[in-house]
Amino acid sequence: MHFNPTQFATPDFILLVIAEMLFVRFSGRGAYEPRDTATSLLMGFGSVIFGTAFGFIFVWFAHLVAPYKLFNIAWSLPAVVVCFVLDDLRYYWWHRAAHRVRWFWAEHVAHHSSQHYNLSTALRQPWGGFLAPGFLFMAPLILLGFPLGMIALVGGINLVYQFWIHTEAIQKMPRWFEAVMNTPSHHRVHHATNARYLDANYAGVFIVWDRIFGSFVPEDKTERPRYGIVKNLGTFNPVKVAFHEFVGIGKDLAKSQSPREVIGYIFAPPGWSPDGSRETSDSIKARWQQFRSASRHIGTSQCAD
Amino acid sequence: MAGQLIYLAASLAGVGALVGLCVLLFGRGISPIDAGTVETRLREDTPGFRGRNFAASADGHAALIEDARDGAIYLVVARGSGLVTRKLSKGFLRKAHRKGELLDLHFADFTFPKARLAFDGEAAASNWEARLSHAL
Repeated sequence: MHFNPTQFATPDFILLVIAEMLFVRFSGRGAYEPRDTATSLLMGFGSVIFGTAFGFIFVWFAHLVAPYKLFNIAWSLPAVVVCFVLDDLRYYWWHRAAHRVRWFWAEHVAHHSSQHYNLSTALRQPWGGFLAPGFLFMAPLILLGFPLGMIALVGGINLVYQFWIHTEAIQKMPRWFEAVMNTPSHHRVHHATNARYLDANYAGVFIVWDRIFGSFVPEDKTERPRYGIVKNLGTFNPVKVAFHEFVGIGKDLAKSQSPREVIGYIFAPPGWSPDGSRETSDSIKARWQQFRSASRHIGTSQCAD
Repeated sequence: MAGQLIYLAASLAGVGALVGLCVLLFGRGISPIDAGTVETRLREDTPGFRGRNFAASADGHAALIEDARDGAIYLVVARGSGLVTRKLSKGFLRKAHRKGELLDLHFADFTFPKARLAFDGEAAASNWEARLSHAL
């Protein structure tokens, strides 16, 4: 049995959620809503069950790929550190795909479905991992020859790190920390639905990936993040929260009329439709830019008058 | 096996305790639906939105409002302390059915299948039912 950082940290998660609840209640900074919190906690509980039940998929995939590995990397501290950094890069690209490819989004959307942003939101974990092939992103690490136990360990540490950044209680960390690491401020942007914040800050631990790959957006003091998803859910039912987008894909596939539509409904960004009648994050951002330019133009004209 | 079941039961009890604490600290309030809140929210969700003809349900949990730019009708529903908004467009609105002062709306949405609005009088409910007919 290998060491599982997430299980080890769970009692701390609970204590920190209680501490944050008390902080929010008495400072007024942040928000909690009981039904929303219940959904988040039940999603966290369910994700452990689904993870246990379907963990064999990752094990099966790993054993499928492992015979082709390039090196045999032994356990050592430097190896763990390198594995951790590379796994975080793996996380960045998986996460980016999870926001840009509807099939992956169908799983990940559950995590974004809360209109609140607090430590309980961190526990709102998806259940549909067995329906989306996110494990494919593990292939490079396995092929490089990192031991499977090491890959699981660093993945767990990555997940544990991300717990504390789901809070409004912390405004900003020291400048050097904000420059390198993912922080509550950066991750608030990631969870926001404001047009200017959409599809940004995919990092797990190191925000430098966003800076390198052009997806970094800083939190703007003048625009408070609004959390949730573009079409917020009308339910707190964890089963519906976990699987609603898969149901949506199924419905769209059932009425699709060409291979192009089938491919689009599965692999195009969330919100894609053949006739363009739905909204994607790109179209929302374009409309917002257009509106902003028009507002500025009117403002300029009025000044000129 | 018994150990695992105890672990699961204890976890569920822990979830229950945390939710209980949350209720104790924050109550179970529902967002107030008023014209100002709805307009602000829709302006955030839909850049350029200009509201007119606002009508809130008597229970304060839902409201309809029209966008002055194109006549599109939006539904806003309170969900806990948050709001859920939907443009009542063709394909999304399946059925609008009035029963006296009550207007039942049915949607093609797995997470949001229906909403009920209670108006002050039958005339208001009938008026909104007629206005929604173009979205069916």
